[in-house]
Amino acid sequence: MNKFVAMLSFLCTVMLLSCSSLTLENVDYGWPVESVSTVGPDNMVSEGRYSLTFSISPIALEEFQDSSALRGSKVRILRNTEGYYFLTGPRFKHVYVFKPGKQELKEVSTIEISQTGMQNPALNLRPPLVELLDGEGFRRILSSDGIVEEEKK
Amino acid sequence: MRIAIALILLIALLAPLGQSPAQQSDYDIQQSFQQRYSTLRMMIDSASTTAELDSLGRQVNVLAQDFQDQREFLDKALYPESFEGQITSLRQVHQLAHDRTSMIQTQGVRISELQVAVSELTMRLDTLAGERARLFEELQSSKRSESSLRETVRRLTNNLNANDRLMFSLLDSLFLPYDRNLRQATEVEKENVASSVERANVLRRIRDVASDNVRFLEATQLQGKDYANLLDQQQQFQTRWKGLSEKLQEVATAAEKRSATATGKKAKDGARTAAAITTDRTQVDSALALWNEKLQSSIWGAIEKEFTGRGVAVNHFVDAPSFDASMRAFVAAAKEGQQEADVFVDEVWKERIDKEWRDVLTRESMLGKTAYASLDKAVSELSQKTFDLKMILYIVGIIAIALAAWWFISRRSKQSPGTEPAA
Repeated sequence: MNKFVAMLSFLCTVMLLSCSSLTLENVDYGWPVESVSTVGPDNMVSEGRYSLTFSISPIALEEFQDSSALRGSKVRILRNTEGYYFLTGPRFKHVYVFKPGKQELKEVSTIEISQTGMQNPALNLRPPLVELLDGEGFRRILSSDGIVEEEKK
Repeated sequence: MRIAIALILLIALLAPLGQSPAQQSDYDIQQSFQQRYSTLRMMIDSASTTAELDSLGRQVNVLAQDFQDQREFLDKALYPESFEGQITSLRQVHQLAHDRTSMIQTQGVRISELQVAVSELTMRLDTLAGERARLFEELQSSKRSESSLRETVRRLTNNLNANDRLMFSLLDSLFLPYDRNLRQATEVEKENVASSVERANVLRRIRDVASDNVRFLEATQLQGKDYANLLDQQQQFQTRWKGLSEKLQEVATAAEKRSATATGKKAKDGARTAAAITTDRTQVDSALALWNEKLQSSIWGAIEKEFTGRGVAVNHFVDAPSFDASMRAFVAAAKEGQQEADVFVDEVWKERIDKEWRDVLTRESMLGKTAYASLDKAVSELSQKTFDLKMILYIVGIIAIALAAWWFISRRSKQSPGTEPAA
């Protein structure tokens, strides 16, 4: 009987393993350099190298309370190694973190950086984190959840 | 001053230390690299001296050095290009530009050297023209002894040959910088050649060469062998002119095009040069055709004189086919006994045509080797027939003499019966 139970459990394990989906691990989604894109007249952002296109209106509304506030301005996007998109730009007070979904970018977190708005922010990939710079001496190390390290001279 | 230089160097060396790599935007690094790359590329493309390019070559090295630390990042950021690929490409472009500029500079020096050569050649041609005019006068005055006239003819022939050589040296000097690739030469370069051609009166000189040769043929009585050289000279001249004529058309077209786009004096000059070249080309073609015609008529006339001067009545001929027909007609008539073959064969064909004129007649522009050999064979057959008839006559004569002698001896022995010996 014991032998039968052992055989059955072995077979069940094999069957379960064969039914589970294939998973590739340790995938690096990171972009080596941020993308600087100009918002089009239709409030769309088109990133050329990785073919990413989306509407910036909800962010403009959130950040500036005006859905067309970012028309013609530049926004900076960087994808970290985990696959989250970090988005910010000049005059932004926050860095927005999104995760990709089915035809959507879903907000993961909004990281407050400045009360007055940044002047000329830049995003650098520093795996597994993201570095945010804004002028001389302003540096933040970010994860998808928030600020990890602060440096202000 | 030394302190100032030392300070500048110190600042330059310490400058990179002041920049914290952590405070640099990767995007700015990428943009900075690409901007410097593009600027250098543009500067290399527009550089016009090797000195400029040497300096740019050093700047390429500085660019490679400045971004060496970001090499790994740039390999990713510049994908599908790479840092090394971009630098290598820049170095290749620089090398090509350096080679090209260096060649242009060398060619520039060569062009100025050739311009000096053109001036010298022009002067020598003018000197030769003066001497030639004097020799023509001597020849036409005919007041000198025959040996002296021969010497004048020899000097005139040498003068004409030297003139030809110098003429084409002059042309080579004008075209040499672009000779291999005139099609690749720029419109400006072609226009320069056109102006030089016009300035050096090249086409007038070429026309004069042909005219002088016609004059020479009219003024002199040449021997059969002399014509071989004249034929070669004319053929070579014609061949070279053919090649040159096409090039001249190309530079004339370039000058015309430039005149259409230019304004004022430049437009006028370009149009005038193009028109002059086109007109002169036509004149040279006519002069060369006349030279060829004169030479041919002179040769065939002189050959015909060889026959008529010795009383051999051959049909009139003016060229290779009519000469061939005339000779064959005479041979056919001689075979039928309508013409006396002895003088034709022995005195004219063997002594004059085969010895003096064979060299000329065997030229492909004349009768050609095969046609001459065929004609010679036909004449030889006539000679053989003549020989056979003579031999028969000799043999018949000998037999007749032998018969006469035999008849005479036998008759004498019949006429003396009393001369029998006594018993």
